[in-house]
Amino acid sequence: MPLLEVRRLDVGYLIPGEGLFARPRRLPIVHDVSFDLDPGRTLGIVGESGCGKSTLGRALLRLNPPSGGEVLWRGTDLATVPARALRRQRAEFQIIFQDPLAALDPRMTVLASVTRPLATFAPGLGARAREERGRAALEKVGLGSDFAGRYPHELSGGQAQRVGIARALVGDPKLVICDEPVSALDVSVQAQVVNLLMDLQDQLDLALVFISHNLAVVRQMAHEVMVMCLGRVVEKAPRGAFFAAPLHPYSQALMAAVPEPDPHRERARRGTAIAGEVPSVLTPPSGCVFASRCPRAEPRCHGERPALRPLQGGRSAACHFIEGTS
Amino acid sequence: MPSTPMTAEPLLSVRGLGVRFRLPQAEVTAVDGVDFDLARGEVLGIVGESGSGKSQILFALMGLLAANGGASGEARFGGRNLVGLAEGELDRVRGSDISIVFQDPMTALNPFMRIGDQLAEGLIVHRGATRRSAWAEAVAMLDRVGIPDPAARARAYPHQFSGGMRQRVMIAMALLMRPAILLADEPTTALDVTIQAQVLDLIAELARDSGTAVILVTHDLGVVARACDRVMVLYGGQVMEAADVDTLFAEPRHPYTQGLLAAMPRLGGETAPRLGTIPGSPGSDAAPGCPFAPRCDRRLPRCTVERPALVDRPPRRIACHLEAADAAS
Repeated sequence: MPLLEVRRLDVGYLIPGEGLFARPRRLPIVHDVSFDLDPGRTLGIVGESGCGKSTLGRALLRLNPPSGGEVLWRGTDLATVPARALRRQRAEFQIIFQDPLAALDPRMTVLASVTRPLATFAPGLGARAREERGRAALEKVGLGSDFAGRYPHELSGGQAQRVGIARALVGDPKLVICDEPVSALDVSVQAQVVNLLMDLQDQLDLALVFISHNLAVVRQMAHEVMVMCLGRVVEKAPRGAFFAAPLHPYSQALMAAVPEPDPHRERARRGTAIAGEVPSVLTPPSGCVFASRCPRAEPRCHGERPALRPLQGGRSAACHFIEGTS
Repeated sequence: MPSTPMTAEPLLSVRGLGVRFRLPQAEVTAVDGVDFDLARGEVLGIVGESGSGKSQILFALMGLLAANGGASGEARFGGRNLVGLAEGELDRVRGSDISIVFQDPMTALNPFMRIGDQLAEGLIVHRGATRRSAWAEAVAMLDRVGIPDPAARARAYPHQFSGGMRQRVMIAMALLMRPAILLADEPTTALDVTIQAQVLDLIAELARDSGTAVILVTHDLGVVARACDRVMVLYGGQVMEAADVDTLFAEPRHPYTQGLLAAMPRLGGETAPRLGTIPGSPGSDAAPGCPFAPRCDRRLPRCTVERPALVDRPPRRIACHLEAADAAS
């Protein structure tokens, strides 16, 4: 049984209705997302701002309630778990955030921040045992014991993110959602944190959901890639197959737009950027989510939404131009 | 490709540029002895991590340093030294000869003014254009930077534009005065990759077509590869290595440049089991030697005590004691 099974998940937010006395209405953000995740594996979720990738990540932990579908944790629907028990169970699934300094309480020492989750996850634990586990978690992320007494303002961005990772690890999680964990870091520090996450995954058999707008980082980290556009999955594929030849025109456009440190290649790509802007989530298109920017779009693409169809080699794509296997 | 020969008189010639900030406890050096030339129509990338001083170079050129900051050295432009120029003279340079585009296009636009009025204002103030002709020029420039339906969009307010469109507006505003130099401080960092590609291509195209020289400050070597002709790698306020982009990416010589390139994950080629790393993080340790020495895995004893000079080693300029050691052996 997979650790995490996501079945046709929908997520939305309540927003004020139109008019003074109107009821709030639900604005759908994420539509019909399904995937499985096993221990020791990384699912990379990529997409541009507003594609719903962070909303999805939070819904996997039930930080946002889903509006449809299921999230099964070791086969149990999290929606059926009572709030109290869910709070304990959260030791097993943790999250690290993009802005590492904003994610730490400026008045708490590093050790206090790292051990804070244990008050919830292991309330019976004595102060001494708690401290030991906190120091062990700091050790795992490469921060020696001289960091334990420091405050967030004394940390660099990379050190603060390591503290965030230590805090996520202190309850011995099985799954960690990483929401753009390296986007705010300098390039040289980003590589250290990416390597650290990969090492920790190997040592602890962690399942990771790695959310990023950076395709190159996802290629380094992920075993499987899921591309989202306007709240929908447009392509899902194993890492190697995806980066060798992305199938969906949106995946191809994203790949072509990533600037690489190779001037020959980049000069050749000048002027090939796709035109247009991401449509608003408030007025989603009725057809394919990418139709307004797609170089191949035909009238059918604007009128009819393509289903996500399974393809050879464990891939799937949602495009009228890509033939399914079934 | 050989390095750009500096035959013609450069448009901008910077020598020994320094920026210091007075803090209550101490003085901090943000930029230290930076030299470079900029030619017409050239796109120069300045790349560095946080605290490298890359943005402060632009602010020093524009007289926009924070109140506790001061610039020293020389920046020759049109027979004048921009460093230490009187505010009145700077006002004439800013906006008409040199324009700047910032990272966050929302905070740089007035939310209460229509886009067309904000664009036209510069032409009316600096060039005495009539309202009508300034508006027409503004609409034409919006069209030039790829804003769809520019006549209608000129009547809209900033909040009605997306991030990418606002950055195009900022570029339109900067270019409207036909500046000789466009300074761009992380102009695409806040944008999605597909929009970033559009904006970078636009900047490269404008430099090519109108001869505007561009200094593009970024933390992303990919952005440099896409848009720039030459690049200068900065660390701790000092130039580590500078060359044309082909040389720098194909044969980086400085340990810092090499480390940065090895740390970047790639879309093509083999995936390494782990990325290359540089130990530590960009710090502000004021040391007498090379600012990169504390993180450099090839440092020599002299690296921590003696600052390496930036020397010409065509087709590059480099500041590293290893160069001298190599040359001697």
